[in-house]
Amino acid sequence: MNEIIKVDGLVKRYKELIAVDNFSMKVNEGEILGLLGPNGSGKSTTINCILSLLEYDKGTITIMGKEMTPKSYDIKSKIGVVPQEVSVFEELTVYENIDFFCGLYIENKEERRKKVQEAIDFVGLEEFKKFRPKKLSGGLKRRLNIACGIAHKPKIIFFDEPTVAVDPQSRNKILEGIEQLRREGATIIYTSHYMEEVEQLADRVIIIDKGQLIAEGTVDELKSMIKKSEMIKIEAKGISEEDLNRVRDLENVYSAEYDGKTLKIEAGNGNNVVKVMTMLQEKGYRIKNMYSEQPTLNDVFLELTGKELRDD
Amino acid sequence: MMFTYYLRKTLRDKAYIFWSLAFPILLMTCFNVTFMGPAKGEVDFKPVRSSIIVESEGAFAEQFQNILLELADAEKVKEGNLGYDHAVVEMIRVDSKEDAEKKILNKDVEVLFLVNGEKETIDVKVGDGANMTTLMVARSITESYRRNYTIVKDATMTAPDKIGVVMDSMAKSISVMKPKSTYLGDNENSSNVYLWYFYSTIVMGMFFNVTSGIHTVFDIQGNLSGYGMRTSVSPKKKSKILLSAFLARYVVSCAITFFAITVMNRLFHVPLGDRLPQIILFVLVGNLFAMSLGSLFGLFTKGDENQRDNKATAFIMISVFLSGEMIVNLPGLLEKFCPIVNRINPATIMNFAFFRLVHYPTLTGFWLNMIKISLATVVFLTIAILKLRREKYAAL
Repeated sequence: MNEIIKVDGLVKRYKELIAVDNFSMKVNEGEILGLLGPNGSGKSTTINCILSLLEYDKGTITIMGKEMTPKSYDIKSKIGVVPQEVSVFEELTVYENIDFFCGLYIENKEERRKKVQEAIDFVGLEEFKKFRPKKLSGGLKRRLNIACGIAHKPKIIFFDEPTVAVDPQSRNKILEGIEQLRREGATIIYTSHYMEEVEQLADRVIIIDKGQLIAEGTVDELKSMIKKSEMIKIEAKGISEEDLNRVRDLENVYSAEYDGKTLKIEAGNGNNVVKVMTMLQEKGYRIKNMYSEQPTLNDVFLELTGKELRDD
Repeated sequence: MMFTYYLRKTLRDKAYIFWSLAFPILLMTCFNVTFMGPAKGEVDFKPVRSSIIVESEGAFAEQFQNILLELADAEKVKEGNLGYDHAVVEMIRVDSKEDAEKKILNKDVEVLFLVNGEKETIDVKVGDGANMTTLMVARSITESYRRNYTIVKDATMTAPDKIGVVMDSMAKSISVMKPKSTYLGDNENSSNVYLWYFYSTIVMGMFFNVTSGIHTVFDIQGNLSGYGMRTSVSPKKKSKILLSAFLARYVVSCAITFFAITVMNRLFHVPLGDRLPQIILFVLVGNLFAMSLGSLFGLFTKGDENQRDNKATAFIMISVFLSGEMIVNLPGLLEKFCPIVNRINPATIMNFAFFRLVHYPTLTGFWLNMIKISLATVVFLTIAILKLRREKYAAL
């Protein structure tokens, strides 16, 4: 796969604070890369450095094989940005907003008209195109925000938490749209602290914390990096301390806690549920309910950094 | 394309249109209803009750005394073609500075001229009995005298034999502001003062363009707004976007001011004089100044767009208040107790410029004020452009 973005040894300092610390990453053409990290982890700073909005202290950034600088207008013309906050002009209509931002990239009026209409169709805002943003719901505003960033058909699109405060229907629509953009050939850098979305969308994920790269790989690769692979919860009454210790001694079981109602087991790879169930049934315990949860990216983050990914 | 959209955006900004156009017109309507009666021609202006104290003797002081005496003589004033058919000043004799100050407090004297012949300075003191018109008349006398005295001095140096002719013509060439008003209020003496409210309102409307400067900065600055980020990331040059955004707002702001001035003149019959090119210049410079000041507010204050707008609005209100928008004698009082405020307050400078432009026989004061405002504009714009070029989008 072609590397469309390459960041090498990026360092960004704000006086004493190191916001990005020797960070390297690459983005392959046509993939969706999830950039995952808690607030203040350096995601936005990294993206802003990549976009040449921010000067950095060390490192190199190349996009499509060329060094990215504030005057790389040829590269900039192939980039689209969807900021976290809805960034549109309240005084302009939906159509005018998209046309304005598309016009920053495309001079030709006729070509622009066609692309603006395609963007409107893409985000499903046809019936609202003469509306001012204040008359749109939160979800529709988010769609407009996206349309303004993608109307010029960029090759590389940066999405910065595009689904914050969005209803489930609009959220699904947005995620489907991002999938479609990828199918149409765009490379997408998706920044979020919503791990479910990143899991659903991303071909590859980079986890960043305190400005450093913590881990990178596909979702499965990341999950395989941690010991825990399964959380088993079993509702059963009267499990004795002796039997609890027997559970703890089972192969692949890392920990087991019992609060009198629910037995919680953290386990690694293996046929753990069957083993635990068999043992408890043999001991005569009546099992009311049983759940098995696969590890999430939050578990990966928790295990790698010792803290939760989502701090809100 | 960008210019058109910025133009549309500005014209649809209801808050901006209200504060810069609708509000000033509403205010002028209120002033018209409150202060003005039906049009009756020019004001019956009464001679300014004046006194003079010579702090140190010299040709400068002596000549000024003579000029005042001539302005107190109705016949000589008529001969001088000043446009008056009566005396411009009424000289009140005072024995000392203390005596003069006492008479000012008792409102027997409106204006006191403190003349220093040695240093060649004239300090104008006004009392509570004086209104804006008397202050303006007094100032126009001193300004005109200073200018003519310089000519006399030059003549003394270059052509000593012609000094007699020059001195003789000096008295005749003194020009004094002629108070004009289309209205008569209840109080004849103060009717002209109310015009100040109208000029001040126009200046206030122009000053609301400070918010335009703020919005322009927000439109293009990546660290201030999402749309600023979008424009910064685009392949369009930042300078082009800045120019489009700035020009669109500037065009609208100037159009609004011209419209408001037309309303003031046509609907409320407030005189504008016959100096149209200077009025156009005044509007162009005034709006540019307001926008340049706004760009500094946008770049150097803290808070979101609304918070910065509010801070700028508070500044405008204070500046306009000090310029006499609510209390017409305030600039006069400030002149007495804290003259520096009048020298540095942009709204006062603009008000005086406008007033002088319409009512003064000469344009010296107007040009001085225009130079002050233009210099400030150049400085503000330079700072703003340097800051905009260097500003980087910094957000963790």
